[in-house]
Amino acid sequence: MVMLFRYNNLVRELVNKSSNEHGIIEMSLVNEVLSGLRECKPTGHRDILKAYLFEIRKTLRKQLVEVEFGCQPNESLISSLKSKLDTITSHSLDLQVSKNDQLIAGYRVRLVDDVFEDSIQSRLSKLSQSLTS
Amino acid sequence: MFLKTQSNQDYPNSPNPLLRKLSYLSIMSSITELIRKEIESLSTDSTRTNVGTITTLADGVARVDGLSKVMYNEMIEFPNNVLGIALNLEENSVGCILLGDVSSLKEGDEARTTGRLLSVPVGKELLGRVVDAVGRPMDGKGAIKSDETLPVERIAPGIIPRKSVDQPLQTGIMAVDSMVPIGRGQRELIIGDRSTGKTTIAIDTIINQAKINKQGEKSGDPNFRPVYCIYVAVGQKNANVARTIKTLEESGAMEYVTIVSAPAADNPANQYLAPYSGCAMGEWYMENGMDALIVYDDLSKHAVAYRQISLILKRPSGREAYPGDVFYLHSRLLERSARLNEDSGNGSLTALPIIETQMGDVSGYIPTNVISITDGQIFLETDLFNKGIRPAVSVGLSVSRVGSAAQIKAYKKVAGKVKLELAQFRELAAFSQFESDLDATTKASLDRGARIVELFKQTASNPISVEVQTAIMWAMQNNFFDSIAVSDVNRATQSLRDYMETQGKEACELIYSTGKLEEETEQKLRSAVEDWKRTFS
Repeated sequence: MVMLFRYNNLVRELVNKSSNEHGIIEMSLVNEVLSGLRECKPTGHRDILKAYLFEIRKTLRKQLVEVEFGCQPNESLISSLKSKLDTITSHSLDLQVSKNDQLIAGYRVRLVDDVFEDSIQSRLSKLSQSLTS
Repeated sequence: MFLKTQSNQDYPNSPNPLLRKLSYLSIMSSITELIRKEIESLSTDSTRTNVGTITTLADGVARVDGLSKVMYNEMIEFPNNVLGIALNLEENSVGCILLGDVSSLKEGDEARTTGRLLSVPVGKELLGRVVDAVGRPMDGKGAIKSDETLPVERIAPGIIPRKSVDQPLQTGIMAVDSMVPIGRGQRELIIGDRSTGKTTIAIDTIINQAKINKQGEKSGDPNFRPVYCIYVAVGQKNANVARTIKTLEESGAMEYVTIVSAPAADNPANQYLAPYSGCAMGEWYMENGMDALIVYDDLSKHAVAYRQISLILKRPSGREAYPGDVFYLHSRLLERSARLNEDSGNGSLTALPIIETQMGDVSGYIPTNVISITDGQIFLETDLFNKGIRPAVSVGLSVSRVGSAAQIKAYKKVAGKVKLELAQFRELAAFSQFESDLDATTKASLDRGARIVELFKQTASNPISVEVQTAIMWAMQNNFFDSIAVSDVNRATQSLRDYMETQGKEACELIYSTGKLEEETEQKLRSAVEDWKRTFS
């Protein structure tokens, strides 16, 4: 992993080339970057690809928001949540909504590595921790 | 009238349907009210946590992807109540050392920040207990009922709250108290090869503190300051730790001691943390105006544990594969031992770190580091140990940089020249092997030196109080031992000690109360020693 840091600037440029004008990564642009790399065969091709994959994953994670609800959410709630998150992050996000029975009730939103949660499960776990500590 | 005296809830089984209905409605209303109140009292604020995913897991170290907002040294929570500490904050990942059972963890598990730094319980509730590196009890004596905690990693006291060392910390070992005296707040290194009696010196010092504490508490002196002890065992065999606990229990010292144990079988993370945890426990006494003694047994193994962690974390390695910050590892720990001034509570934390050398080489990497950090060292020689000179204190290599300022005046008066005399003896003894005829001065020096060597021989777990030590040293300085054969000096010392603790108590009490060797005290001492000399055969 340490070795891949030397390609940081190049990889960031490649990720920029893989994104459209809204900053969203597109499959066609990624293909263009990959074919370009294949043609010029730079030194450390494999390491560049590894670093590119790492950076693309990181960027994709920033664009994807995992939303879990304890019960089935309605459309208006989802759209209101999306607009709020778009405003906070100042770019368009892709919401992946799912139902998680383990939450019992409430919600859990994962945005990159931040988790916003208010569910019965989290409260019970907090209660359990406070009783055992 | 009847309806007025009883509530509607009292008729769920009433034959009257109206009363029954009223009763049910009343119960329902109470239940809904209860739940409504519960809902109102609940806060609806969502919690925000920073999470990451374990990408690699090896040798008690996890590399976590994510955790972008983690703090250095922050506690990280893993599944199954496993805790970790963030040590390496890199661009794309975080390196965490794991505390506890890591067998339940796997790649892909979620890790989350806690916003807390690792803390351990502190206070007098820990006395007499054996705890692990994070302050959890290991002795099966139940939970530790301590309300206070302190972070494991803390900044050492600065210049302003400190004060020079001015109070003695008696080890009860004549060779140490006379030649390398230790003061409260000092850092005195105990260094030597394996099996040279390093731990014994530390344990004897702890036993002596307990003895003094009991004596002080019994006297009812309001100015008496007990010394509480912490013994940190790093990377030691469980059998050795058990033996130490047994020794302390048998000598009745355990009630003043806390043992922090991170044995060799423990993971390196715990071995790395244990000295810092013990130090936090000691700092509590210091910051609350009390005196404490901490023994780190030993810092060589601590450095090895840290090297292991650093190598797994892929930190760049330097000399002997130790990471670049191995000096800081020990300096930040030992700097936390200090003597605080009156404005800061007048407390102290004395440190006795132990370092194991290889083949007597004090110029090794870790030994030189710790020698330069501490305020002196007690060097134990294998040769002396094998010759039966125990404690095997090397006169030439042992030094106390600040302790002599803390020695009581009476003891200073009688022991002031002994180090020089003994050093001269060692030098002369080496040369006298080649000389057949010796002049009178040299012979006198050799005779005196041989007797001092015998005088300093002391068995383990057998500390001598400072007033008795003063009496013995006074007798030596005043030639009372000159007529005794060298081979009998040790027996004579024991005999004089017994005498001074019984018949000669008056002179000893005078030394204890005044701390000086005034004319009156000296007269009483002389008559007591002369009496003893008449009875000794």
